[in-house]
Amino acid sequence: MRRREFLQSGAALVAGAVLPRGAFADVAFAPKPEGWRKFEVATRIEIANKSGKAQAWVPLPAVADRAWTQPLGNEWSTNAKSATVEHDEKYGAQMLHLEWADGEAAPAAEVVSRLATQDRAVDLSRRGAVPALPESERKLYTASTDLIPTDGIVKSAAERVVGWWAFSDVEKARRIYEWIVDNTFRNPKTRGCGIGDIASMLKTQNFGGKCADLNALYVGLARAVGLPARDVYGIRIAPSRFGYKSLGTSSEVVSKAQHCRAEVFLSGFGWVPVDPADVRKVVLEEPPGHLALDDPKVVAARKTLFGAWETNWLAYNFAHDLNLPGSSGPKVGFLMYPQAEVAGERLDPLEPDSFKYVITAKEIVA
Amino acid sequence: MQELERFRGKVVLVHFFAAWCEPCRDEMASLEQLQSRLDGRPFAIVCISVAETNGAVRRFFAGDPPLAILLDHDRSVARAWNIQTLPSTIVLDLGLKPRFMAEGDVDWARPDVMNMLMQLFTAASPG
Repeated sequence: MRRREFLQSGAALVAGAVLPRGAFADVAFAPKPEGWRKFEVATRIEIANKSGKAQAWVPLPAVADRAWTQPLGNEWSTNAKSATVEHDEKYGAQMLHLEWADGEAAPAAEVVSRLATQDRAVDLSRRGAVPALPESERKLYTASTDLIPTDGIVKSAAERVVGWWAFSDVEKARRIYEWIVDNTFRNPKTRGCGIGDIASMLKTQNFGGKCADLNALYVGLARAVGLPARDVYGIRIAPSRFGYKSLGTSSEVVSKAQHCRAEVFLSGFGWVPVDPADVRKVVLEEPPGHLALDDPKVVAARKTLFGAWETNWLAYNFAHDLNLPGSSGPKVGFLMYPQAEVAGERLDPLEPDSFKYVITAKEIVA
Repeated sequence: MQELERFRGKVVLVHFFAAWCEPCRDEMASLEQLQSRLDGRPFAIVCISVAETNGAVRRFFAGDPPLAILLDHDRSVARAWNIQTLPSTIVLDLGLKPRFMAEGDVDWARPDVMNMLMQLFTAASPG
């Protein structure tokens, strides 16, 4: 975005703040594919290597769809002895695998990825001639994963949510979406957390914090009733052009802006973008915070985020349960953050003494 | 990998937790006090960190952990014990049979809780 345009839109937002309640509803939250934007995202990692061999894995943008996202290449600089782009066969995820020599005192790397994005909207009123999903993909995207079981409590919850009268896939997909928006509020009386999968989330009724992502819940419930669905793991890379502070970044530093979205495959429409988690984010975080479900900002987000995405966001991959090449540690449930190990011990990205990373994003203006 | 068998002859609290989970953090102090209170008795607390890195657990205890900590990186142990809530505690008797289970945090100083534990030190395992 050009600096002058950003200042002008910023002024409009400030002016909007003094308008009466309901004025936000006049701002359409209506992402449309009206032009491509290019971005450059840089990930810089540093590992405090006390002893032993260090290695790291940095996710690279691997989702390509000519309608809304195109990776434009990666480059890197590092003191690693090797840097290899690894591909996951099952989901097509890509990562840069870095290995440092034993005893390297200050392992570091900077990885720069470029991509183009365009806002995305599916017209759900008009069924088109969209090719059917290949059987291999249907099987992949209706299967359980480690964090997304589709049996037991998940299946029974999905069947209850969808009900016996929802005959079309669009209706089933929408019912699940609406249920998540209506029911996954954080109950302050709830004690106890899930173990990280959606079954324990449903069991504990704890839908907040680190207890699994609401969009993983969407995917699990959809898969449980036979709808192919997938998480799309990524990171926010720009402010929202529709004025939503909670749905965009506030600076070029996006290290903590990771966000997972979801898609559901609907016959006649193809992969349809959804994001019930972002509707809940608007409820919780859109200023002044803790909005009611009938607040105009929430109503607008809710209407839009079944079928459309604003793509101020980089899509890394759809992968689950990934083995990190060269690691003897456990699989990762998903790859949305840089990962690192020293002497075979997986590091915690939240422990700044051992492993830190900074991710920045900026728009490339021609 | 640790074998439960080595605890036979002790009352064992198998406690599943995660450092990021607020009620888990609240309960840990209560467990440490319980360990002290039952010092000298055939009693052990085994804490199992679920799906965390070693560093996260070290940071949580800020030094040497006062209780035995095992690491269940991939949730396989939690799932084998049918754990879905953190914290959760399973109390095993002297014969290592599960006798009680708590989902959520527990105040281990409560008189009724202490009575329950004290009974296990004397009772024989049910057949």
